[in-house]
Amino acid sequence: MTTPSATTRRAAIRRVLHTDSAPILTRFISIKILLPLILVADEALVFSRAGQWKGDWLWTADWTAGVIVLLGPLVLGVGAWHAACFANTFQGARVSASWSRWLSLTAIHYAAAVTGIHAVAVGCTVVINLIDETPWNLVYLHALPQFVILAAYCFVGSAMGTVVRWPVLAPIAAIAAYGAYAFAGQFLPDAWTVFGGATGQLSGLRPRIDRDLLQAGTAVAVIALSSCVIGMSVTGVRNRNCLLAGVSALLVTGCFTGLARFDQDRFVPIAVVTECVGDAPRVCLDATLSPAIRDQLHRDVLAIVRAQQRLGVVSVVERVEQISPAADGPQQQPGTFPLALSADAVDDDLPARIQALVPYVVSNAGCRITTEPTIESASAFLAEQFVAREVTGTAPATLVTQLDAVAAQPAPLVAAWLESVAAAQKTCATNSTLAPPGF
Amino acid sequence: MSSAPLRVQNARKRYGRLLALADVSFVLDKPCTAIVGMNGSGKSTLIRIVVGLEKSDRPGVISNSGMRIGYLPQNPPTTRYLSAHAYVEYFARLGGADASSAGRRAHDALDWVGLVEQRNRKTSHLSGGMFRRVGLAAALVVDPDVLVLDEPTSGLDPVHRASIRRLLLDSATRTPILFASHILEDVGVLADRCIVLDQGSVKFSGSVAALAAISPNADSNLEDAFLSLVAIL
Repeated sequence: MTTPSATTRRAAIRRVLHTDSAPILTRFISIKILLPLILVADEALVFSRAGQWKGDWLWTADWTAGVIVLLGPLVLGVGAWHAACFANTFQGARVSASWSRWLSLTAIHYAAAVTGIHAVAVGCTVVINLIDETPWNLVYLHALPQFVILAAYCFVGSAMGTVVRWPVLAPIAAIAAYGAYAFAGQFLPDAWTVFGGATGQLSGLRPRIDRDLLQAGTAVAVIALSSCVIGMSVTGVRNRNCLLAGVSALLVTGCFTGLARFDQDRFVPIAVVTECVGDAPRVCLDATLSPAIRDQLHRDVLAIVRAQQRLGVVSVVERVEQISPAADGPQQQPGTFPLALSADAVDDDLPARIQALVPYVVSNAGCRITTEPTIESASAFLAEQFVAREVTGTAPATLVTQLDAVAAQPAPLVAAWLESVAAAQKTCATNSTLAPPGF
Repeated sequence: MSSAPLRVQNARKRYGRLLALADVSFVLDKPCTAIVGMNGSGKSTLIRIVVGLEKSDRPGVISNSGMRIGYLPQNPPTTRYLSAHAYVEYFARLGGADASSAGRRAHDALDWVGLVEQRNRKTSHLSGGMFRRVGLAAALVVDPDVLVLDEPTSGLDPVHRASIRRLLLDSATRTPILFASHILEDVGVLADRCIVLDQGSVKFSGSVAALAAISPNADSNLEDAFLSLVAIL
């Protein structure tokens, strides 16, 4: 038996050491591709609200304050977590890498990823809405500061994670950022705390980060942080710590986001206008409402109209695709009640976009209504949120019903609403030469 | 590459009441120097002080702290998201290489440790021995003036240990190596000089042959010599 040469032995060892990699691993879509795609799709979906906000996307595209308050702390927390993980993984390189080199690699990579995802999301929103022929507007440039702000959050988060290298830093950073904003929001001028830049202000969105919200947020933060610490104590594994910290940051930011959105929706004053234009009464929603509230009111006004139909005030409800200017004049079907948004005190191109949002017409020509609200749901909604407070008539026949966030009994609410609409219809029938039949 | 050797002067470290290192001094003037000791003798603390991850209680113990050090930790953490190539490439970039050359240097380093065919595998999917070789490639990709390794072969099977030893012998011809180990077989094969630590103090500093000569037995066994030094025998 011959002894194998050293070269042969080395080759044998090399063959043993070089086990083939599992080819199936390379067939999976890389998380580096899949995750950004999910984020982009998610963000674009939120921005576009599944198409319901088409024509009104500027409200989200220049949502700079929203980025500062909601998205920024999340980016900050995840950035701190990412940098801490990076520092732990590449601890062997710390001995030969300068701090500036280290920070620039982690922060620049992270900032590029975040701003890139955000750019794609905003770009998708633009494309989606340009399909809808939304005109180009210089207000789009309001989106630019978002990227600078996001990059700044990325750098600050990376710096904190690199220096401290403590996974719990992520939720703490997010909590601190929210806390700072909530605290500062008590003293800053309104202009600093208004959501949405130019069009956001038009939409009347204002965060009311008051004492209740601060207390609720603090409670949520404490619970999340406690859960994080307890979880780390139980698991005791470093990678799980990082994961737990990231999840906690997401939890905290998500809760704050929900609270902030709930708060802004709850406190925005709502005005519903019933007016008579030309030959037909028109129920209008105030243009300064947020899209979410407008959507809700569309549904509830339709419910009330349906209730009118049941009570015999309105005989038939019909839905049309879009209200054209021609449908607003004498050529309109007798008895139609276009539900549209008031265009008072807004810019020139907004009325057309707003009108496109509300394609409902009430008429006596047929009954084809796509949504099926009930009088019970309308009553419950009114009982929870609104009460008829003020009825003002303006020439020739405008009925303004100012609603506010005050609790009331359902039955009187509906009755008051129906009375106001009937009064408007009666006024229209008196003043208009083309009064619809049946009133 | 810096010409002056790394010099450690009176390194001292105390954790509370525990004195982990007591005035340890040495000069890295041989191709391969081993720090030998039992668990808890202060080897890793000394290594971490040398590479700058830990501060000595006395400042200024490292004479040539500006030199570039390639470091392989005792248990380098893996990352499930990075391939072996990306992992080593990051080390190259952190070490100062630009984006264009970092990839090439990472490829060369992986080729040198015999893992170029595994370069696209995630580091978390590599075996312990393979990942130790990836770590060695990461330590060498920064073109270090000195290579510092903490227990480079612990926990590996004989085949992987032989592989790592072969790579270190090859490296020592170009780059001075300082490594900590409690595996005396590795010390005998690799080291030109060894420093025996016991409870934070230097018990022996000299050539491997001189250490073996301390053995109370006639066969100059390294293990017996070490045990007699730390007063086990």
